[in-house]
Amino acid sequence: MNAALGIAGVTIGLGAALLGVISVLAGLRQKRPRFIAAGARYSVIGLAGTVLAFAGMERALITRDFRLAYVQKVGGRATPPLFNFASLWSSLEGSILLWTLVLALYVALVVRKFRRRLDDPLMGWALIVMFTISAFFNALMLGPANPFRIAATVAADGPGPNPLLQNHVLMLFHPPILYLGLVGFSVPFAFATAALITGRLGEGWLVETRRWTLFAWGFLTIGIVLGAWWSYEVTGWGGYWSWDPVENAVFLPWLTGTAYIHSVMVQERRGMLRVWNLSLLCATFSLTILETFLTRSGVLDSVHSFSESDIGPWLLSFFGLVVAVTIALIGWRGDRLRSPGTIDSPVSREAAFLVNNLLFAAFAFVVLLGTVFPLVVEAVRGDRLSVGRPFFDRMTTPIGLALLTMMAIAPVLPWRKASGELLRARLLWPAWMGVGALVFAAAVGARGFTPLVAFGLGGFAGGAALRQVVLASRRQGWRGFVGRANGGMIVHLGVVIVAVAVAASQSYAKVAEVKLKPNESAIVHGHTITYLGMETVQESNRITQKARVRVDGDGVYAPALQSYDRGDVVATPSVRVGLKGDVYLSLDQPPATSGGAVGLKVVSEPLAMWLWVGGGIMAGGTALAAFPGRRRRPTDPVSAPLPVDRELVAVDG
Amino acid sequence: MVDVDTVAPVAAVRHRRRAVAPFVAVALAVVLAALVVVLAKGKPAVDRFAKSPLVGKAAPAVAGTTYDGSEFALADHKGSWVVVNFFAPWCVPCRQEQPALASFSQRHRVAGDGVELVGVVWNTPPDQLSAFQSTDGGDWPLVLDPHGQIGVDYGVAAMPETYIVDPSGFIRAKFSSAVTSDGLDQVITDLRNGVDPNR
Amino acid sequence: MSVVRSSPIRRWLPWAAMAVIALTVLVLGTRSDGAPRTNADRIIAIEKTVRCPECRSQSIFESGAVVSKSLREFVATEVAAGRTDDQIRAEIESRFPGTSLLPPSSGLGALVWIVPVVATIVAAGALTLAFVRWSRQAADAGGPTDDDRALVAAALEHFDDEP
Repeated sequence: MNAALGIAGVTIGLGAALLGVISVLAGLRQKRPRFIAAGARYSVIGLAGTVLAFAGMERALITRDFRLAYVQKVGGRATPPLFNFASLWSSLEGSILLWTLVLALYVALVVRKFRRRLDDPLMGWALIVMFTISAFFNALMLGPANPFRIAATVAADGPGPNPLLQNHVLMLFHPPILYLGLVGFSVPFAFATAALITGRLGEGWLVETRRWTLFAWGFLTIGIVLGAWWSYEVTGWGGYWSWDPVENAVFLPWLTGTAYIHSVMVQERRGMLRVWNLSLLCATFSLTILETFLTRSGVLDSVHSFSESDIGPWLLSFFGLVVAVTIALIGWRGDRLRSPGTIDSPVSREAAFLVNNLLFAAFAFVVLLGTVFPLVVEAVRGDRLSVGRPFFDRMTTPIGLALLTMMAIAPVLPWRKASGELLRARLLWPAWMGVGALVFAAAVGARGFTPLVAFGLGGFAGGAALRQVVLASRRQGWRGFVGRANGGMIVHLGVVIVAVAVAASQSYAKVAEVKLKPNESAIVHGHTITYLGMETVQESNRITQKARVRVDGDGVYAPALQSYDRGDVVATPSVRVGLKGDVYLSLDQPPATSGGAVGLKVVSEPLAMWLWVGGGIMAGGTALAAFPGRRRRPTDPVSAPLPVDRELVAVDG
Repeated sequence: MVDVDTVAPVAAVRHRRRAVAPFVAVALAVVLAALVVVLAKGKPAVDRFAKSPLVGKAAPAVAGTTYDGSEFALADHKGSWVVVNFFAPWCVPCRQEQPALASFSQRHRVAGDGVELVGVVWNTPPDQLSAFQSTDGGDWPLVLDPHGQIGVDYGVAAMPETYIVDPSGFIRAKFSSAVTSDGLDQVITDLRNGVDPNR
Repeated sequence: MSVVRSSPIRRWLPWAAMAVIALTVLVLGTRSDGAPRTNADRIIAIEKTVRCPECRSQSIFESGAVVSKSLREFVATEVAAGRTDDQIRAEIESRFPGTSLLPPSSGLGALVWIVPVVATIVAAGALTLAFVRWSRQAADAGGPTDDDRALVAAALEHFDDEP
């Protein structure tokens, strides 16, 4: 029954997408706008189908319907309810189902938002692109990644999802939010492709989809930060980023997406960098498809990889197709895109954004190269070669510091040309803040060239951002905090906080291992650690051994080892969060005898909590940036007068 | 949709503009095609056959106390073919290959043909071994390696792994997964006849 | 329009002061305090440059895998026995090929370190050349041409038309 519901839902989704493509194409060929509108309505049917499939799978999981092979893989009678719900996206086929659902949602939202413009051919082509992507993912579920396959053998119970995916609540949030980000880039991509196909390469489509891009970017940012936080909470040594291939795969579209949302401002203002913007946007979408391939194909195995299946070739082919089509389109229309304007002066905002683009492109290039290089070596020579943290840290640190510098200077740069006097005047206070941050850091004991430079540049960039916000709020009151420019400055502040926290936690983290008998204390990195005793808890699907530890005389923490019925043993660290740094405890070796000594790992990680605070500020700033500004409709020329009496809420997009 | 800009061609531009886009597009297409080819050739990690760098070299020492308290040293067994099997009681495939190893050991002990089996208990405290021994245990020497240092010498990364050491003390073959009694016999016969089992 | 111009010294003084302070702090902060690296530091540094054989990207320092634990003990023993960092890394690489995370100095593997550096230098050079060319074009541009004037006149003719 559940399988039937599911297959029916997927088939409806696929059918609706295909009919949508055909209908809109017919409407475009015969210049009948009504066909386009009819085609658009298939989006609702497609959404209904995918929701049906999702509901069918959840029902199967909740009722423990072990006739389905997928439920046999990830379902379990003893799994707690919330994790059972989330187990839908804990493995390959279900994750495709989640992706398809989010995509169907976006398509339906686009149709709703632009419902008055469905007679526009550009809209039609955008819909065709989105329906095609939707059809592809639905087809995957009817073929190589079928979540509703009936199992060959009968089973009475299942092992539940991978224990690493059921010991933290973030499993409920990280994948859906990440997909809202990754899939969200399909929307601006569809419009960009439509603009290329129709040749209507003016700024209209770009401005209309600006808010969609911002939302997708915002969700992607939150998704990555949540992934890092989850990693921090479960690895045994306080790490939050290990340049794992799957982490890199998700970081790549974020990098190009960030470059895009900055560089797009140059196109709006001066009609320049159009080829850059289209390329960045298409690259971002292509990289999201590459991400699905790398995560699911098993080609680069890692902590994250879903199991191997034959979905790899399909995803890789789709990636190749997307890349080929966009390169062909941009190559065909490219020379029409070149603007007559040039960048007159290297000291101008346009130039700064161009440098920004190059820096982000270099960053993405380095990350992509390092990730696939082992495969290149193996394909060419057959040897195994590893590329890990030493490479990535060493290569990306200079780029990161350069980006911090750009963050400090670019917001105060005017368009077209800047004089030295103007720069000096505007940058004076931010520069003092930078020097102040440097001196403060050194005074509290920070040592080392790279972290000190990072702190100084962070202060500089933070000062520049703060200056903009202060000036804007003085001019416009509360509106000085909302709108694209001001929200963007708050996002910058978040980035600065994250950068400083990264520098501190990477450079000054200290690890120590200590063996303690019950009620024995030790002083580790300036903290008093007292071991109180063991406690064993039996839960529905696992046995948890907790070591109760008191830190600095207040607060008891319990790093634990969870032994699951299915055989895995998972370590669950315990963290004491503090403003100046975290004390991170993990149970290395449980006592051999009751009342024996326990082996603990104690990590002192400075400023760790500011990573998450900074991420939250970035998310908040993104929401503020999406807030409609008072100034004018996005499609009015820059010189249009500001309305005096009426509040002009910005139109859709 | 209102287009702020026009689509008027930029032909009236003063500067010379070569058609750059097609060349850049082709160059980019070539690079990305190479990327796709590399990714397509990548084998899923599970399928990768790890060639052991130790094949053909002198076998590192397997020496230490065994489970039943006696001493074992691989060097003492020069002159026999020794099958060195790394396992751990908490590893499921290891338990599955135990019956195969038992029959292998039994057969060669009865035949007395200079083929011996020794097990190395990898990264396991000795007290976890007793339950395993009572249910699945065999009667060949089990050298204790509670900190995995013999494993490090042999380049053992995961369980189970089995090495075949020839009478002169050189490693001739490595198995990276569970073995069968016939599989082991086949390889040893090949080696005795001078056939190289490593493809 | 009269402009009060401060002397160049006054304009640049705060910046010079900042530069001096920043440089001083950086130099002082970077100078090592002379204490030799302890064995524990050496062990951690070596561990961070060896990949766990069972993982794709984590070092044996980061990884919780059983083989990582064994390798960490191995490193600790070898450091205590007085071997150099390179000897220990070479020993591990000979047993577990492909686990070194340090840059290979030659061969295909070195490309991953060289290509980004070369690409950055090339890009920086191209950007500088482009800026120089654009600045020169802007300087050469001169005033508006007759074509430009005609264009503006044509547009202005319809300026007051109803939209």
